[in-house]
Amino acid sequence: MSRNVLSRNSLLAALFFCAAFLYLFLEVRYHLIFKEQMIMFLFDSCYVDSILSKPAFAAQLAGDFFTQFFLFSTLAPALTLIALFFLWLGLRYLFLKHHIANPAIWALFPTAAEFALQTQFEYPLAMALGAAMSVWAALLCSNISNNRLRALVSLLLTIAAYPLVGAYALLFIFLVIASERHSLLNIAILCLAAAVSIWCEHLYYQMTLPDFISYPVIPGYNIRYTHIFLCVPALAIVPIIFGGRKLNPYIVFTFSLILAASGAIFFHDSQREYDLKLSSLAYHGKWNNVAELAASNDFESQTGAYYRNLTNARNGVLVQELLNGYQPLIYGLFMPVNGNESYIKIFASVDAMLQCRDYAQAQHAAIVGMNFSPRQTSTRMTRVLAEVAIINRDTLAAKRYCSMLKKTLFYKNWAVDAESVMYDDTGFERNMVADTVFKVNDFQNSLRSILSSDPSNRTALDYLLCFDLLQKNLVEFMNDYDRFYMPYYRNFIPPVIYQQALEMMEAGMEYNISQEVEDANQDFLSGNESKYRNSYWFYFKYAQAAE
Amino acid sequence: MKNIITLISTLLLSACVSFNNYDTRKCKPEIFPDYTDIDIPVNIAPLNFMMNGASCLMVEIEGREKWVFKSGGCQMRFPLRKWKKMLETENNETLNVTVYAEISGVKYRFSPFKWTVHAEKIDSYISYRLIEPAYEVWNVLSIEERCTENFNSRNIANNAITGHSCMNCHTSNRAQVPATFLHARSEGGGTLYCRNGNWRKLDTSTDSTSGPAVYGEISKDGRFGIFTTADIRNGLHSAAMERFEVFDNSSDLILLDFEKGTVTDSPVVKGPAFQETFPCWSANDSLIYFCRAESLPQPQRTKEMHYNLFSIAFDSRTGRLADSISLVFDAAAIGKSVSLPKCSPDGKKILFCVSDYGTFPIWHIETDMWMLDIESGEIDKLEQTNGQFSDSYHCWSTNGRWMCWASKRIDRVYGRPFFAFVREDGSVAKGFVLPQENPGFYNFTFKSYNIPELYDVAEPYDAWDVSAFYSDMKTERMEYVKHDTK
Repeated sequence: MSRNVLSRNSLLAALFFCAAFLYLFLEVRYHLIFKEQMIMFLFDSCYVDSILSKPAFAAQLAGDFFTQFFLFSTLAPALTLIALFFLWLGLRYLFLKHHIANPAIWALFPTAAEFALQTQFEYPLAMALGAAMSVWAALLCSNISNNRLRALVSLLLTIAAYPLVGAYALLFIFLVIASERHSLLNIAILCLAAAVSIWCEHLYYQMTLPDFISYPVIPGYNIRYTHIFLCVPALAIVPIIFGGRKLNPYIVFTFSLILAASGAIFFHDSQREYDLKLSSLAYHGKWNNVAELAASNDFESQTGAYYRNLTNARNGVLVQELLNGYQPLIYGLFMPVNGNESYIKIFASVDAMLQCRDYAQAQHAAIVGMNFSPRQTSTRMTRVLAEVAIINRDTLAAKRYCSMLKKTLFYKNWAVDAESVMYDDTGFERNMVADTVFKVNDFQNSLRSILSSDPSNRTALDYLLCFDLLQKNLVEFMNDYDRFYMPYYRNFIPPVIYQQALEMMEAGMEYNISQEVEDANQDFLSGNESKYRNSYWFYFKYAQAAE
Repeated sequence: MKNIITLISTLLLSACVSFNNYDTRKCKPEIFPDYTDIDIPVNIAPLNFMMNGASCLMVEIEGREKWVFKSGGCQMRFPLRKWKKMLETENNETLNVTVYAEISGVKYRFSPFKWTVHAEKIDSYISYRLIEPAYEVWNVLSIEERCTENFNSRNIANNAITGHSCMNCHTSNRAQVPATFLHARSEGGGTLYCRNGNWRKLDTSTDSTSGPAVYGEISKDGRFGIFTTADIRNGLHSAAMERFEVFDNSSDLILLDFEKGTVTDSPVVKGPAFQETFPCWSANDSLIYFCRAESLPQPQRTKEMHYNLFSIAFDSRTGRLADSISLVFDAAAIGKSVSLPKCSPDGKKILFCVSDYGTFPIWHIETDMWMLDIESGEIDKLEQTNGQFSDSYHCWSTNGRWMCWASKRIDRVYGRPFFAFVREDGSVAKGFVLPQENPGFYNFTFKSYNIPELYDVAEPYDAWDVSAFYSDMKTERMEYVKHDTK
């Protein structure tokens, strides 16, 4: 191959990887960042044991290790790209070994498919690493010149492939079978070994065959078309089987780009990226950015409304701004926590609960959120559990969660700091809530319980009254207002929204309703409604749940 | 793979351990799990432990002979064969266990503690449900069977292959020909009943009872089952240390006749005035013990629910429950509430949970196990056995000399299976947790061990069998037979 061809091919490959990096960084960065919150890599033998007992342990261990670096926004796309680069590099050498012209360009073809898959939420980095491991293992086999030895090593690796790399064992199997295509006997033996090992191993690991074949992709969550990864092994063997000599490299490159772009577009979900960005920024305490982003809720997303309310509450203007933006009834205040709800929302739901100091619901949401995430672990939720346990003076539980976080790379310092607070009794004032029993997601009774023991909790008070209002339950609003607002804020002028609701209930003089609000109400009732689109009267009359 | 790595690392690390010179510490070592001064069965798996901060360990065990074990890290993992040989040699002996540890470059010898080895064996198998303590919902759960004599375990039910359905209450009657059941919920589910290797899938709900069978036991002959049928609800506690409350809006007892395929009851253990739950058989199946409280609106008055322990006679020849009940233990009189009674195999004792109120003890931190001597009526509060937090879901070994239960003493959140020896005089020794191959295991799992159950004969099925029964087997609908009031 001439130097010019090499340079051209390298340049095209570099172009592809630059474009891929830009797309990952600009369009799906928070899809990647959120993956870090759904795993928990521990530097502990128990954790390693737990991974060793599952299929794809080599890919999974490497994947989890690198995914913890996704905490840093630039490293997330960079590490994904590095995994893809190793896949491409392995394929390039393999194709070179098979005397395929322009191997660097042909190697882009399956790499582009894997890139598109990596843009999916929940699609683990372990898949790209597993693919790379499979390709390099196939390369190792193809470098063995002794036919018998090569066949033997291929056979052994075929059997070991699933426990090592999971789903992309098929990539290895496809590649070695394609390499051995001139020996029918070898193909038969390899096919038989692959089929028997897959069958036995799925029984051993107690997974259904479809689940087993796609692992470490876990079906049943947010990944559409779990088995679409099979296109990568299929594309990888095309040049080996059909030679690929006659095709113009620019055509192959263009096809690779089209494949990557169309796949990325197909899997792209702008609203989810927006929701994940809000949730992740909140998790990292970047509340100014959250406020800015939530204010422009172009998708009319529930998460957007939820974080707009939450940032307003943090700034003490929840009531004032309540009806100045998209408001999906009560679901903009709290996100319900149950098995039917996406764990992404459950992760986010904890933030409002913590803001209201509703630790019982927050603890519940953290455990349910973690339980309903694909791997049933989460650094983010473990941190919440540790926080709640510390606040509750639940020392043993706090120690347990902190001891886990101390075994991580990036939460170790947080856990050490948290433990120092735990043993300092002056750090927190224990919130002595009078104990009541209420149903999960019964936010009103939960907030009432909090306010009974801590009437100064203004965030909880505003959330409760706003909840009543958004639910259009004016009787409950009056009861809660009389019980929790009046005794402490009687001498203050209530926020306009409260005044508007009180006016509807024909509340008396002692409620401090301004003349301006009374006049506006008359104006509204006389049919001049369009002037009051942001009023509670307008909301009460027209707001309804979307079909 | 895991075993190979462990073996190689243990051999390499333990080769360099020597404790010729050391400082003496006049305290017992802080090991995890706490295996100091316990009574152990001769057939228990190695009591592997760890000591935080130690860079190498040596354990000297002295009984009839002297046994030395070394480890090149903070974990002491006893080799299975040598451990077995040691226990067989030291049967019925009290062993002095001395731990030597190197911590921050200094070698220490700690005060010895005791292991008393008992010839009375613990059952060879324990089953438990592994589930995240996610309160009322579940995602991934399995029922595991673990051999208590080594570290082998296998799933006997796994909802990953049954469409993520709920599975619970795997229970054996521990008879020579064991009969076991487990409930598989969701569509296509039912109560899976296995006797003599024969499986049946039963729909235990009828039009005349309030729902399917929930908590219960099978009689020794495997023919009858006594169960609760209940409308179970749950809620959150707002107070800091409480987490969750499970309560029944209503609950009754039902008797299943597996041979006839019938469900029956008795007017004295059903109806809206009282709630009856957690039934168990007496040793000879002539009595059924159960918990009963006056029915009050829930959850408003959950804290006023105080369950007492009652019994009702049962005639196994006619399959008929009696028309009257007797009070066995008045917990309400002392402001307590009883749950989960379990009668000892010799019929002399009843072990039950005692909480401040309510029916569901596992989330109550104050829950302890108490032992009632049936003949004398004396209560043993098992202070040496109960932990700081909830101790519940107990069961007896087949020979009645061991008890097993789920305790949250390690971290208050996650239940772990504990064992304790029951002495001839009925007193109970200090408990110890089910040993694990990796002693740090309990610190790094989000799973709770739910409903531990001892039995001596391994289940003849595995998770794939259960999956097949779940999806393929036809459900037998049980018929309600009205109680004969004669």
